[in-house]
Amino acid sequence: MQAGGQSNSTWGQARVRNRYKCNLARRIELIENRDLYTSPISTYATAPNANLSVTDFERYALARLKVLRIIERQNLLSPDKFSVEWRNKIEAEIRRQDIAEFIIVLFSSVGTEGVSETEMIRAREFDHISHFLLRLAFAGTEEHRKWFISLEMDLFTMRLRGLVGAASLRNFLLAEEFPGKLVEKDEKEKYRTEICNSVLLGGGLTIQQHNKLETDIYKVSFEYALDLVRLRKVFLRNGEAYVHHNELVSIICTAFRSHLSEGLSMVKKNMHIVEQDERIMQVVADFDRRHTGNNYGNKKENVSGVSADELPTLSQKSFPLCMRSLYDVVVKEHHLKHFGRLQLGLFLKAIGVPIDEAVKFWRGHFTKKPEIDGTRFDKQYLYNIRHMYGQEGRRADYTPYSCMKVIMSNVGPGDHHGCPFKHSDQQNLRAKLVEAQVPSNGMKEIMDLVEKHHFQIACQKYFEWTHGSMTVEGGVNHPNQYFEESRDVLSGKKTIKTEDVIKTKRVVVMPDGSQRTQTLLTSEMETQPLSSTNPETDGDPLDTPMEEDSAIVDFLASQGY
Amino acid sequence: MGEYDPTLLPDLLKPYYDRLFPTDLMYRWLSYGSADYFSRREFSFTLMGDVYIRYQSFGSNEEFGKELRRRNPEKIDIGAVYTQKPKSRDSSSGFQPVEKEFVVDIDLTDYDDVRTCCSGAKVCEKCWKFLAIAVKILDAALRDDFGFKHLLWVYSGRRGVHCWISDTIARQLDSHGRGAVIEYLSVIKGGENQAKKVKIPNPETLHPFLQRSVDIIDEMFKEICDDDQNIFNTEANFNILPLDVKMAARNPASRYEDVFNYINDNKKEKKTLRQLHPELLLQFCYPRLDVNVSKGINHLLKSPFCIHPKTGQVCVPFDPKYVDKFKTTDVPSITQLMDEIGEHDKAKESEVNVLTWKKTKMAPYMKIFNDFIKKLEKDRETRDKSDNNKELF
Repeated sequence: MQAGGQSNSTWGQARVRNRYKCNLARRIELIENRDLYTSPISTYATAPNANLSVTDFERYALARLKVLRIIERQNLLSPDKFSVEWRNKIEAEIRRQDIAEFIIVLFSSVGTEGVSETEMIRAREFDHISHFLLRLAFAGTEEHRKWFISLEMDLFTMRLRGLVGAASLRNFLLAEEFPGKLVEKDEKEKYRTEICNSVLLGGGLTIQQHNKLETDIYKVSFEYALDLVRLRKVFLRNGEAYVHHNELVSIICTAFRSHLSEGLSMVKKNMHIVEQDERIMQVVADFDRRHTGNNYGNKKENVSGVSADELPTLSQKSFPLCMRSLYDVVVKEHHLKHFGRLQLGLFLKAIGVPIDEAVKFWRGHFTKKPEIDGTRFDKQYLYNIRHMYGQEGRRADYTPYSCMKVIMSNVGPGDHHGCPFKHSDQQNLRAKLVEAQVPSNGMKEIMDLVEKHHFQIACQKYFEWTHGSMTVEGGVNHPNQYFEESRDVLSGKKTIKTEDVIKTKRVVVMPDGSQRTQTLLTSEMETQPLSSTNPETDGDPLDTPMEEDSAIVDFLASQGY
Repeated sequence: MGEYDPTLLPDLLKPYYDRLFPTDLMYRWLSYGSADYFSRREFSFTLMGDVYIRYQSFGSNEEFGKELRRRNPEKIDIGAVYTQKPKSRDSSSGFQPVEKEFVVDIDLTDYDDVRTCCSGAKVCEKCWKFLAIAVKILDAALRDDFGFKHLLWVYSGRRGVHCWISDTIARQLDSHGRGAVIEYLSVIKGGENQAKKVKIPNPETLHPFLQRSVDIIDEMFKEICDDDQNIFNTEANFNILPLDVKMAARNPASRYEDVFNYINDNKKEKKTLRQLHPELLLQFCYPRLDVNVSKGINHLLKSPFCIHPKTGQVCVPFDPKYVDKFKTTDVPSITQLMDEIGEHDKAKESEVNVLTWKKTKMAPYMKIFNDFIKKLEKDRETRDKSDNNKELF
């Protein structure tokens, strides 16, 4: 091992790198095939080969989607991803929702909790198949792929971390093709400070210096350690990352990610084959949208047009703080940078501002800047606005940003977009809350939530304090949902007091694109967005047109994805 | 010598592309030894009247030059190398970007929170010092940390600098990889609603990259932030400081000294102050990077040797070693260049065969570009040789 035969100069070459990737995939494959489902972690190297009924098809996919959403939600709630608390919360929620197969796969081993070997194998198969089903559902768009990859990565990492220390992991990694080598003692001494200062444990504490260097350090081209590079958690010298053996997990993850990403591109490429099977398409099409609730992209019939003249009032009364802030910047500074324009522009589109009114709004404010006249505006910004409305370029119907997207967005100097509860410092946020007339006890409540990274709950509290204690049904998940709720409350259509029982929605998109809403009752508000689906619902219109007992997965596997 | 007049640009561009634009060198750079590679590269042109055309591609050096002379673009953008020739792409999903130089883009407009000398598009010698620090920090990190060797630094022609990292590994990074590298290099985080944009985890154990960056800044910090910019005279900047520091620096006339004296005097006892010192250095002087330009493999960036339509200046390469000495006012404008050629031809009619750029102020910049390409080619040669040897054994 230790790649003794490889000279440094060849590491950088694509040929070698691809060979490593292939070897890794092959190795994983071999391990899996030696005895299918003996490994506690699957890297999903090969597509499953099994018979599955259409009902099961949806049940499998849905169960996995729920797990991913639980992780997604926990990422927003706890600042420290992969911490013990983070993991425990996820486990608790998966158990609470009783997602049986994943409880077994993720948190049990044969013999504990009465899990038999057969059950374990069945659960691992469930994990395997459901992963591939979601690949189908999320391969379609760049945004879906990103979402899916990032959460599958979290799930994978969580499982892998559970393994650290186990000899199997190290053996696996340090197999012949692993493109790293052990750092010699002399070199380790030479870069002692640099290495020690680069390896951080949670909370920014360093490991005791002497302790850190007693363990093995591996040198590997930085491309294999991208996740460590991103977090600046590794010492880099001349293109090589000095990886602490505790962090080898990260290296496997980087390889897994590229494998997953390639897999998804392959599905996308072969999607036309899948599309020929109506039964699959009925489950897979809009899968994400159907199970996350409302999609604010498509204009609903009941949305009446909003004119530019109404915006001054609406923005102060019914815009969520993220949009209100952006709106205020436009009014005050007559300018907004690209991603701010997108965040606000798509929101305006979805509350029903038609394109000509949107142009009127942007033009009216932007041209107040002395250096921007009407012609300059048309040149510089008009295309952009028309693009948002799908009138230019590839004419895509862009959907407005969800809270998730707003919270996760990259905010740099000069930018005003993002979530004010996350991307503002205390002083700025306080000023905004004062401006919105949130009383001091409300301020305290909101600031406390922000401190704990509960940005969406803080937003919900903001809603309550600015809407006479009326609340948002099921928590704030989307700026446009906030807006609609606000309109309903202010027009007297809705009267849900904070203490009332919260209703949750399941939205079903019919094949013709129309939506049907079902209302379910649940008593726990905080977990609502995760459990907004219920596969056991009777009379699901999706079940009826499909044939039972068809071998869909078998078919899929044969399509080479 | 004539002043640059933007309305004359169309007339100047034609002779510029005819006689000065280094088509051959551009081809040698962007082909990396493969005509096929060059032919799959996207170029975009901005033509007169703001007509923007994407997905141009050229089969050969000759075709590239011919099209430039025919179209006389106001601006050329360089995009990615695709799976197919962009010009004859089909609409299938098989058309994907596969490679591109890793690029870094820094723009002085992003320094408006710390610049007091100028704002917006204006740039003076004091502003350039921010860019000089940026270049030093990034150049060191890209070379020493990431091991990149082929860096082409260019001045954008008005208020920014770009870096084209052309090593094979850099070109082959996917967007995830690009994201990781640029995040490593990004220290300033947060938008207009976050006054304090730098947070370091532990002052006792600064990551070597941060330590080096702080050291580079430290050399010029007082000159820039006190002498040039009087940084704490801006209330927004002063307000970043924690209360105890603000209290110690109540006298507006001596804020800078008071702040740093207070920090130095109390560093030993207070961890927050040990942390604050590097944080302030980074916040005020660390390069502001346009992350999105670097992340996207298909993101377009203005080509070197374009003419900036507002200033008429050429987008020229420079040597990062001498970035302190670089003066934007020395960079020739297209008007100056045309005058120079005219004068030279008049004075020395016999020297018609002299390469045109040698007659002009372009010469030193051209040499930097040429050296960069030669080094690339030499590297490629040695690698090919060692590859061949391997096959033999």
